Amino acid sequence: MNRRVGRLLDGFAAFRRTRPFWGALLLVAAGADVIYFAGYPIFFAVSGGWNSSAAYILGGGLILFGLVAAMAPIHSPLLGVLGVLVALAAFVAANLGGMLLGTLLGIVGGSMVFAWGEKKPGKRQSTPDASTPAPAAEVVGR
Amino acid sequence: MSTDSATRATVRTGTRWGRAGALAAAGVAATIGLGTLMSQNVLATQVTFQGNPSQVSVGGLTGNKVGITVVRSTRSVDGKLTTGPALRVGAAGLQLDGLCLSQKQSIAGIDYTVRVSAGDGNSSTHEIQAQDATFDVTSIKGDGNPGLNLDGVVEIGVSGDSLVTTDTGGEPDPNPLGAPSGTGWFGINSGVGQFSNIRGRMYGFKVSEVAKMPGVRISVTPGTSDSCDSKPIQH
Amino acid sequence: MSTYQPSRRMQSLTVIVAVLLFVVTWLALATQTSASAASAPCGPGDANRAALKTVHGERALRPCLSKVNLKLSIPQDGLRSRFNVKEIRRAGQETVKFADGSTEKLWHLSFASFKVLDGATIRTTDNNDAQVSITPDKEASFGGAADSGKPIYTDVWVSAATFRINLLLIGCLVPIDVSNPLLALVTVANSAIPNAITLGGCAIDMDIRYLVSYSDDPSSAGNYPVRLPNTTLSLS
Repeated sequence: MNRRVGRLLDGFAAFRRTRPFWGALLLVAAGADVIYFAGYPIFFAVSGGWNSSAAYILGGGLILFGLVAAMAPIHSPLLGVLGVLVALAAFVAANLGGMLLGTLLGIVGGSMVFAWGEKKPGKRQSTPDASTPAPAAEVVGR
Repeated sequence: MSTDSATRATVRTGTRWGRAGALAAAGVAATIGLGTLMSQNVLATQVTFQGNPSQVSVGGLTGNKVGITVVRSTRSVDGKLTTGPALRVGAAGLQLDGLCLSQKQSIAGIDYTVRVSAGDGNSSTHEIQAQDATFDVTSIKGDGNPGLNLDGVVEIGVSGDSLVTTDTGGEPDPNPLGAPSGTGWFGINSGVGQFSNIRGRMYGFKVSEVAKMPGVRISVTPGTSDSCDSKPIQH
Repeated sequence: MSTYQPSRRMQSLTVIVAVLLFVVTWLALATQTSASAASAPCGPGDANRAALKTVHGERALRPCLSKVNLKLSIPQDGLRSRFNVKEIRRAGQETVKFADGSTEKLWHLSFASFKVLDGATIRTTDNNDAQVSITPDKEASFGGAADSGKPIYTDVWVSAATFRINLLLIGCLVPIDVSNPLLALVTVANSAIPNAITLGGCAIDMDIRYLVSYSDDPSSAGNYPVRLPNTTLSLS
């Protein structure tokens, strides 16, 4: 039992390590936030025909780019930049980007996706995962 | 696990925080820039509100190119969006002398009142200015004389979707109030509307540009006593 | 690393599909909003606008009419004057077009300085979904005198109307229908001596399809032809 949990956690850790996991997760969260505020009674948008469907499309776009970043890590620089741009568009067109929160999550998430990739080996070889977020689960699992 | 460990030893992947920070900083700077442009009205911000009925009171209101019609307005009642008829008043330009908006909210069974007020306290100035504004009411009362005045050429009985308020480059915008199309939707169109000492029930509003709104105060008070109806009209 | 990732080609394909999907939805939204804004309010090419002319100054009007009936009624209260008006003219019957292309024969009347003193109810009777009421507590003027003292005119196109006017010795006792030749007589009298007298009336009932208030002055701002002090505008 313990072994199986351990294997699952190992698998998850490997899954996580082979894609911009945390950035993608933040992008999805940003999209969910933008969509949540699309139906909010008070709505801010730059005038010119914007309406809550813009919020659904921009929120959907953030979720889409988050998921695609997880599926296609080799294109993460492009997807990260797109995520940041959509987050900025949401700030203008979709209720201040889900009351600012969605835009901030999108910027941070998009930037993390953009900057995901091979790290310079060296310096901290002895603690290999110290710099990637939340590697502790793997250690505990083992 | 050994192969995995080997992979990790050769290529370590993760967020390269330097690059991430650079892009995030650019993004945050862009957001602040956009926010500044919006607050300075370089980028016109449209504010729409639909919700539980709010109490509204206005000391005085002067609107240029005013249209009034009946629309099917979406409102949220107990968190659910429903549609009901409302009287929509729209104006290409709007000047207000004081504004009070209050709404009863309840969270976990406790009622509290959110109240937004603005104005300079002077009844001779129309200090709040906005463009392309519409608001949905079921009843609005103008007290005193003038109560509700319409100026210019006043037309009563025109179709709601043919009302003329805002324009783009001199061409009137089609259906600026978003009225249902076809016959059976009563409308009033006038060059100028002047309402004084208004109290009403509001279901929603849309303001495309708020140019000036001095003296904004927002308060959240437990109970239902801090509503606009219980306050003297704001100027 | 590769065990956890789709092939390079698959990854590229996913990205292309996702970006295309986003761009296409975005464009669909943009074109949809601009397409809905383009339609004319009054039938194809705005062909269903009515072509009307005011009695005073022959001001041409091209309204798109809602076909909603607005009933203005002041019930009789003894022989008390409940409205007054400087002139009533009957311009005749005109065929008027509505927004849906249908037409109706309506009486065209013109009033100068029409002022309700009390007891008026003004309410739509056949609007969709809900009725609009304009409820003055007492006075209301539809084309009263301007601040300069100049009269403001109100033209109405009505499907039916009856008046009880204090005039020609018949007083308020006899209701005059809009089709009554007596009204033509009133028109003649008014034309002979315009704005000379103020007529008092005890009761009125009008089914208004279209009302327009205007002054001779083309700019016509600052006159407030429609004045509704202490008035509630409501929906019920």
